[in-house]
Amino acid sequence: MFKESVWYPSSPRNAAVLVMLVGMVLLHHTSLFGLMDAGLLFGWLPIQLAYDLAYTVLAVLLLYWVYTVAPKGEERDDVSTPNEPASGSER
Amino acid sequence: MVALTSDITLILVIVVSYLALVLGVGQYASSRTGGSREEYLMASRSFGTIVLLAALFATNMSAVVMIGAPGLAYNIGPNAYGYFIGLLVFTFPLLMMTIGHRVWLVGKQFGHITPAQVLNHRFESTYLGLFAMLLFTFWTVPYLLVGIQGGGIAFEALTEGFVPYWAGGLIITLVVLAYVSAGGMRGTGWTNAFQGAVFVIALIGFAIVIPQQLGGFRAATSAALEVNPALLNRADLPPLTWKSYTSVAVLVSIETFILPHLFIRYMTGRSSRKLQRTAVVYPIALMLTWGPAVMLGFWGVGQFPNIDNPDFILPALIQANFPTWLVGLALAGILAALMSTLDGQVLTLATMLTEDILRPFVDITDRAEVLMTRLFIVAILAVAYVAALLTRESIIDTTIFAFSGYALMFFPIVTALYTRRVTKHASAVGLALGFAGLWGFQLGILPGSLTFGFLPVIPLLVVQLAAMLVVALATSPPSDERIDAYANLFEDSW
Repeated sequence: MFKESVWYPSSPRNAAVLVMLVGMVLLHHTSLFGLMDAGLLFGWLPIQLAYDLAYTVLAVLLLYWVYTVAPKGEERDDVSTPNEPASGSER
Repeated sequence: MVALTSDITLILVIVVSYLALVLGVGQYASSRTGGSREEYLMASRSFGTIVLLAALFATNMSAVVMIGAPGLAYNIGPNAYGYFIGLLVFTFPLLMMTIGHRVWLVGKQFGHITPAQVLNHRFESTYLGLFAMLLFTFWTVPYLLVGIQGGGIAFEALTEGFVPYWAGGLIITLVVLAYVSAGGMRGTGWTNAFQGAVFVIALIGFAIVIPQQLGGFRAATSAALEVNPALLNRADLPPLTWKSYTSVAVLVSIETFILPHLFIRYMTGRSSRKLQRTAVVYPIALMLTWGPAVMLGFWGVGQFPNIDNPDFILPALIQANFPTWLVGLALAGILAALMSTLDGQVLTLATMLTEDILRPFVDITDRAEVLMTRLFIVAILAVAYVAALLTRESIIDTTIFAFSGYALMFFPIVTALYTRRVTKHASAVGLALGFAGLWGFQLGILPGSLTFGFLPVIPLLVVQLAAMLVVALATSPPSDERIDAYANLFEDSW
C-alpha cells in the first residue's frame, strides 16, 4: 500500500511532490534566510507577514499543480452506495 | 447589574436577528433532511465543492481565529501567522488531497462514517475503534469549550457586561443545539456556508475599518511599534525559537488533518475530486481570515498597551472604534466563527457515541439511532456549557493542549491506510503511548528536559512511531483478505 502511494518516490511525479514538501518546510523557516528583523513594506505591513502571505499564494499554486496530476479515480468516485454496511466492529 | 442602554438594545437586536437568520438556514436544511441514518449523519455523502469547503473551513476556523489569533498576535506580533498556520497552509491541504482521498474511498466503499469504524474494519477489531473514539472524545471536549468560552467573552465584552459570560455562552449553546439537532450534517454544512461567509467578510471589514479609526494603516502600525518595537523581530520573542516554530508547525499540520469533525467530513464529498478541489482553495480561505486577524491583534497593541487578557483584544478594538450598529454586526461575525465550529464538533461527538458505542453493541434501528444522536447532542452541549463556566484558560493554551492530543492520534490511524504490516496492537500501543506520554509531561511525571526544547508532542511522535514499529513486527496483522480489500481499493490512489 505504501509503495503505491505518493509518499514513495517511485515516479518523477511522486518525487516532485516530496521535494515540494521538503522545500516548503524549509521555506517556512524564515530564520534560515535571516528574516528575523525584517521591517515594514509600504510603511505599515510587516515584511514577515508579507512573506507568509506570499508563501500562502505559492502554496495555492503548488497545490493546483498537485491537483492536476493527482489520480482522478473517476470510476470509483461513481460508486453511489456503500458495498457493505459499516458494522462498527469486527469479531 | 449593568443598565440596558439604547446602544446595548441596538446591539442585541442586531445579534438576535442574525441568530434568527442562522436558525432559519438550519431549519431550511432540516426540511430537506430525511430521517435515515446516512442522510442525517452524512447528508447522503452529497456535498459539492462549495459546501464541502464551507463545512471543512468554517468547522476548522473557530474561536481560535476570532479570539485566539488576535490574542496571539497581541503577544508575538505579525509573526503569529507564520508561527501558527505558516506551514499548515500547504501541508494540511496536501494531506487532504492525498490521505483524505483514501479516507474518502474507504467511506464510499465500505460505508464507514467514523474514524473508529475505519480502524475496526481495517484491523478486524472490536475494541480498537472504541478506544480511539474515547480518546477523540476526551480531546474534543476541551476544544468544544473554546467555542462556548469565546461566545461568553464576546457577548460580555461587546455588551459592556449587560450579557454576562454565562449568558453569552448559554445563548450560543442553545442556538447551536437547535439547528444541529434539527438538520444533522446538512444543517451544519449549510449553516457553515452562511456563517463562513459572514465571518470572512467580518474579519476583512474589521481590518479595513479599525485602522482607519486609528489614523490609517501607517499610524496604526507605528502606534503598535512605539509600544513594543520587538514585535517585528522574531529573534527577540521567546516563543519563536526554531524548535518552537517547528513544533507548532508539525503539531498544527497533522492534528488538523486528524480532527474527527474534519475526518468525518472528508467522507461527505460527492466525489474525491470535490475534496481535492476544496484542498486547492483552502489556503486562500485561511489567508483571508488569519491575515486580518493577526494584523488586528498587532494593531491592538497600540491602542490597548496594557490589556489584562489578550483574548479580549478584538472585542476591545471593536468596542472602541465602531459605531453601535457595527458593534452588533461585529458580534454576529464573531459568533458565526464560534458556532460553525461548535456545531461540527458536537454533531461529530454525538455521531461517534451512537455509531461507535451504541450501534456495534446494541440492536438499534436507523430511526432510533437518529433519535439517540439528537439526545447525545443535548447531553454533550449541556456538559460542555457547565465545563466552560468552570474554566477561563487562555484560548490558545487550551487549544494547543487539545491539539497535541489529536496529533498523537495521527500515525496510529493513518498508518492503517498505508501499510500492510501495521496491526491493531501496534495502533493501540501508539494511541495509548501518545496519550500517556502527553499527560506524563503535563503532570510533570516526565521531566521537561526530555522534550529537548521542542513541544512534548515532537519527541512523543518519534517514540510512538518506534514503539508501533516494534509491536507491529511482534504481532499478527489481520487476514490477507481484509488487507487485500484495502490494498485493491488504493491501487492508483494517493
